Amino acid sequence: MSPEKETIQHLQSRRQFLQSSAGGLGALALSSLLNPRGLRAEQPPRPHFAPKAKRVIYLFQSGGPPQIELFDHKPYLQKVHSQEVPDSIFNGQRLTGMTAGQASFPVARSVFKFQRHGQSGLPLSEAFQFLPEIADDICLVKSLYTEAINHDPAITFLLSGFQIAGRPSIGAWTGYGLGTENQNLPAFVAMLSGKGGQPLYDRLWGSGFLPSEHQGVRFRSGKDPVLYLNNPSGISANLRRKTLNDLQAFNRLRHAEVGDPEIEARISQYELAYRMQMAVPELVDVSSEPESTFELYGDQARVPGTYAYNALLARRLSERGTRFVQLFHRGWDTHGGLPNQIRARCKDTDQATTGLIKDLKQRGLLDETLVIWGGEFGRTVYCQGELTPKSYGRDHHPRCFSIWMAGGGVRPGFSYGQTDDYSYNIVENPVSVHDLHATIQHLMGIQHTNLTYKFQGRDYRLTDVHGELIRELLA
Amino acid sequence: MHAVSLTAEPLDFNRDIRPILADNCIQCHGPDAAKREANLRLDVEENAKKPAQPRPAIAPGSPEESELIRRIYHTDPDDLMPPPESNKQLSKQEKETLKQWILQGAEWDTHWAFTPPTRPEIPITQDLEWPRNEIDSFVLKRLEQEGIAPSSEATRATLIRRLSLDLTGLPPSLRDVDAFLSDARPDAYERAVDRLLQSPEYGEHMAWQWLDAARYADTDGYQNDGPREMWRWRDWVIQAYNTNLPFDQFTIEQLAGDLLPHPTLDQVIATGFNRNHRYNSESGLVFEEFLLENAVDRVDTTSTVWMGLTMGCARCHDHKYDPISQEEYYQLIAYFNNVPESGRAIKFGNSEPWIKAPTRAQQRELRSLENEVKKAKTNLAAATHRIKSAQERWEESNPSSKDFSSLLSEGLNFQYAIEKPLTATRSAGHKLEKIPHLICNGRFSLAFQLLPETVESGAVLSSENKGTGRNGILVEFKDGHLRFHIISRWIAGVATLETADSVPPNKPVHVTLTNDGSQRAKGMQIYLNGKPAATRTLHNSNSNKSPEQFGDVLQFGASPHVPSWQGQIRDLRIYNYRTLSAHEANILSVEQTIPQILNLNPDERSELQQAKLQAYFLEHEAPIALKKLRENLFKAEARLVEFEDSLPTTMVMEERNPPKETHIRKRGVYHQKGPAVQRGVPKTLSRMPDHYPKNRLGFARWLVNGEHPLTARVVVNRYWQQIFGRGLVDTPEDFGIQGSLPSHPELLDWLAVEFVEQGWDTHHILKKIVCSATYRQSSQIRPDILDRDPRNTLLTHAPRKRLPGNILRDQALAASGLLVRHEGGPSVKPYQPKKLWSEASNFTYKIGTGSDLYRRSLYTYWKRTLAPPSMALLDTADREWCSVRPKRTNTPLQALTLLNEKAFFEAAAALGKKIYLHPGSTKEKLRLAFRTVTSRSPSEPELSLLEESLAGYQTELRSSPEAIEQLLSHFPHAELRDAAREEQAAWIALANVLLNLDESTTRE
Repeated sequence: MSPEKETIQHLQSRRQFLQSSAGGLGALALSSLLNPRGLRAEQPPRPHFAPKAKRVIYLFQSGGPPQIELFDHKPYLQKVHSQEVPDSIFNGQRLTGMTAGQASFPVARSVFKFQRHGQSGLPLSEAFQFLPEIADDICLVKSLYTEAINHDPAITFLLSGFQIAGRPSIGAWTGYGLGTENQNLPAFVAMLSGKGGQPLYDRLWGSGFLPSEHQGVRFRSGKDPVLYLNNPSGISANLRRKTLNDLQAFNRLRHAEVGDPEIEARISQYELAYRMQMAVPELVDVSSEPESTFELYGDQARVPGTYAYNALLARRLSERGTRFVQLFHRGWDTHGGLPNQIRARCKDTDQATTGLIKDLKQRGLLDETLVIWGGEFGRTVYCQGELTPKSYGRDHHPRCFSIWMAGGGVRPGFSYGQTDDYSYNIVENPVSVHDLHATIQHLMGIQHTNLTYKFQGRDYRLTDVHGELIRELLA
Repeated sequence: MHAVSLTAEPLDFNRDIRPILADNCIQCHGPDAAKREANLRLDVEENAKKPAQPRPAIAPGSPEESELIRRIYHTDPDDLMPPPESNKQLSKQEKETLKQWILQGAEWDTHWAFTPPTRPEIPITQDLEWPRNEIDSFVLKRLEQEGIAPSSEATRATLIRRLSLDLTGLPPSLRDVDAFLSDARPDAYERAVDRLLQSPEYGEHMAWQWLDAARYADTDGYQNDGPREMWRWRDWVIQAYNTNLPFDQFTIEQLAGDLLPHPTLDQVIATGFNRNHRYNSESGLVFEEFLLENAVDRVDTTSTVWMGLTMGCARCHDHKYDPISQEEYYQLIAYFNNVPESGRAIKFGNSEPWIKAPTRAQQRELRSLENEVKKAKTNLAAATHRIKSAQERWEESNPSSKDFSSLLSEGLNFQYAIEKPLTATRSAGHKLEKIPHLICNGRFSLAFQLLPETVESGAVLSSENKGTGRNGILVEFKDGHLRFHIISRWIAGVATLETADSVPPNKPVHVTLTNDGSQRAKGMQIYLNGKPAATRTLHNSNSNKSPEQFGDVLQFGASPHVPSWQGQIRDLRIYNYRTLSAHEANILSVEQTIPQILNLNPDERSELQQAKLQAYFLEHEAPIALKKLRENLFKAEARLVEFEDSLPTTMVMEERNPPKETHIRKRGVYHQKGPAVQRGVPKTLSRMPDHYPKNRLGFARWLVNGEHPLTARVVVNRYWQQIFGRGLVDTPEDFGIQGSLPSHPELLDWLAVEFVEQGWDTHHILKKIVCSATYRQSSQIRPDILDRDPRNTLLTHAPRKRLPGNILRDQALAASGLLVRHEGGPSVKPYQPKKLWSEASNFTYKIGTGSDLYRRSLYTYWKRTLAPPSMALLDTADREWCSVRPKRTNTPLQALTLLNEKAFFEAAAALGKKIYLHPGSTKEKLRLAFRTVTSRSPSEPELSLLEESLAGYQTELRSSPEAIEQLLSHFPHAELRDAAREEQAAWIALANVLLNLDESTTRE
């Protein structure tokens, strides 16, 4: 038996043991609470096989970035600009309620030109000033498709594998499957930036039916980067230490009295909280970063709450072992005034995204860190609203969209999948959201069919009953 | 569990065999016809034992003749079952068990939970002293089999704290503790239980679990996550528990209260249960998709809550484990998809169908306002004669020189073309002016006399903006019909009425258009010539609340979006804030002006002309006393309307008539319609009596008629879970094949039968449970048993339960004296860190003031997509979907919350102050403080530790006057001397510690 198989078997049988002993509540970590005795000696969760990526940084671009302006180069559109999209392209597919009633569906070409970059010759949009510098690190997927056509179901699907609320987010699954590398920091962190645009929801970093310890911790700008991190005014660090010592002493007395091993677990969580109080301020303080960092990420990286600052924090978290960091940048929902909006979003994100990849690379971290860039769906080739030479809008488009990955075991300088001349239908190598999930989990050393959690009488997994590993994307 | 259930008894199909088959075989050899392999079912006895080539799967008595046994032991991976690629593998022991079972005769049994419970006999135990009631006999019998003695009884202090937390979600006050400790009566305990069951806090506590199950929240839960108003339903639940409404009635009213004969307002409010689900308001959505999602949520929630079944699997295909076919799933959908709803939620407010739901106090106020209207009407009617003669005198005075335009002038803000009509041609419309408040969420009316030269197409009136949103109103002709649109955002936010009959061209017509501000087409009305016109609703999705200055300048005869129009308009009246009544519309429709009517001989005037003249007279010309009578009526009616507009509303269930046809959806996808199905219930469960109505009411009765195998078991199991932290069935959401087996099957059935036979009396069952010796055991862990029964399945001791966020917060507020015990009402917004909402959504959280900060957590405003943060960290349910099982985790973030969160720390500050100000020695105060949070006196070591802690904090603070001031600022403190300030600050730090004790955050 290969060592890889042995690991899986070990994990499997352990999991089965847990599921039977915990009556279906098979979560590893939860079991340690329900059955602290039996599990105290257990190893932390382990991957099913040797992972390529130890950590993920997911740069989520919320709202649906337009593939035609950014990654999916369609020169043909110049020829058919402002003409009606042919019925043969629509092929009877559904449109959203916003444009279904539109009298006309004129093609809108991209106002941004494309140029080939790097050794790989990857065509990239001029909307990106910086991204071309890392063209050879990018593994582009132009043939991702989703099943949802509106934001809430689509973003929920992309991040939890199901359109309706209730399932754990991809980051929560990762924490459940792999645990954390750094006890003093959360295993899963979410950070938000961008004003206006589509709202975001707890469930996007939530734990669904998994124990709530797997929910992502939302890092925020301001005094409390983590909720309730700081002591109330008047409680100095010294006084807090004193109170925690006393608290521990009381709890030890109680433990001696009632013998509940849960009390020990509780004591250790208070100690962890204290360590987190030390670790997080150090983490979010970017003033110690050298000037060169800000040259990479841009000056915005000095300003808490910006995408650039969050990108820098993502590196700092990742460096310290946070398993899954997810940025959410709002404002890609470009129904109207698309060109200017895209310029603005790229201004917010382009340099920092590029800087992050370069930074990880120069630190030797890119190989073990999977970076993912993308939104919840693409945008239509046809114009929504008025089509003018300088401006137009695009509606939601689930049939094809582009995302890219870098580092963490993906094939660099590579482009996968093809869409038709209108970037409307996929003509080669379609990738479903479940396939993407299976591939991401594979990169992390997780066999997607084997990371399951029993709930409501069923073994659930991120990929539900679907998902195929896309081997071509692997380095 | 396995550790303790493996005995030498004969194998039991349900206990020993079915779980193996269910986990490993049923997915491919089970109920799902589409995925069934080799046409073999291992969930149906006949099929499993039927003759087959080369041999039957199961040959009772002969393992060697059973294909199943051959295959599970097979060495060739191609023949091995389960197949290696399934990732399933039988253990050696499981294989042996199957073999043994076939050898013993392969006796089959139906799934335990699908067989109705019968009352088991009470077991006779060796120890006859220990049992206090029937529950204990079942528990003890099992313990005696295992040779384990139960634990001794907990201390009285522990018991009263345990009872209070379990039955009311609040700790006992010290007065309650002392009263209980000193109550020497033999039934002191039962009295305490009764007192707690009768307290209003009981209903609030019970409501919390029900709200989790009912996915109750204050917002719609999708995308924008706009507000809704369902607190009247929440208060109904509290009331229902506090009046101990029998559970069968509780069920029927929530599932089908609207279908009861002559339902009361409360019974209709109760149906909000199945409107609490999330509901999407996204502009781009396809209605059919979310009509299905709504019905799916109702079926899944209802099945989980009443039947402990996860029907959802059968949405896409026959259930893989439980005998529920896809057809049966859609038969259930047919009960719940017949609601007259649009498929898209209102963005801000309640979505149809909803009702006004005044509280008792508001109902009284309503009656009194209605009486005032009635009185004003009577007074006016009584003056008929006086009015008539006064009017005659006025008419004789020859009043022709007056300005007669001001008829119905109250609330008339704009008036155009009074004397001469305005004419619109295809080439020129008329810009009038900016008219505020022509919005869907406000009252307004327009009335005008029209002479249409065309009715084929064209805009009569428009305040639409130029942009694609088209915000504004539009009155247009289209193919001969008149249309009235209110557009808050084209096309997702539009309400449109169209007259059913066509309007003839070139014939004068009087039009009155009204809106009542209810954000729905139902609230709009078109009157033609004073009569309500029959209309069709073309759009009904007007969901945005709009600002006062909404839309563009009002135009006559033109619109930025539809062709211009041709015709004349006269006496265009705009009432920006009020809804004209039918009577007023009727009066306005009289074409003749007041002077024209005056010129007619009274005998020649029509009744309506006479009414118009009288209305004018009473409004402007009558003697003051008579004028007042009309004015009084007008004001009384206005007050009534204003009050009605302020009433809370609540979403309810309603039936569409005739019912909608229901189709199976292939693979569960909304647009893949399969065959049509009729309402019906799964065959495996109890039969639906023929005489029951074939609707939700019949369905609800079927659940609670006492024949259903699941309902009572599922409900008593949740009560058990609420008290013991874990159900007798550990999977409260799944009583199906894949669910856990009950740890004490006879006890579960005994409780279920008892519940039904005692009239579904919740108090009775809870009292049975908490009065048992089993419940009253100490929670001391027994090291000798911990290894044998680590999860305490045998109930050898009482569980120690970590308290969830809502109870922790309520406890902190109660202990510190901050808790405001006001029951019911709109949700409140206690402390929450700044910008949590605005960073992620388009809403801003505005922290409430005064008592809003200190109400029980039950009343905290619950935004589904951004839940109250401290609750979310402390293991409360998400409220996005039905949740019937508590979560328990242990994280450093929870520690940070309890130590630092504003509400928790303010409670510490208030508690510190309270204790400090209490008379007595420091020792006495320390005892008091400790008792306040644990209900018991500290031991000697604890007392010394308390003393040391307090002294330590005081020393620490002495050097930092600033810290002292900061600590005192968390809760208003009286002016004190310096030394006292230092001491008091130390008490705050100590209170912070006490509220974080493992013991105070645990129910022992």
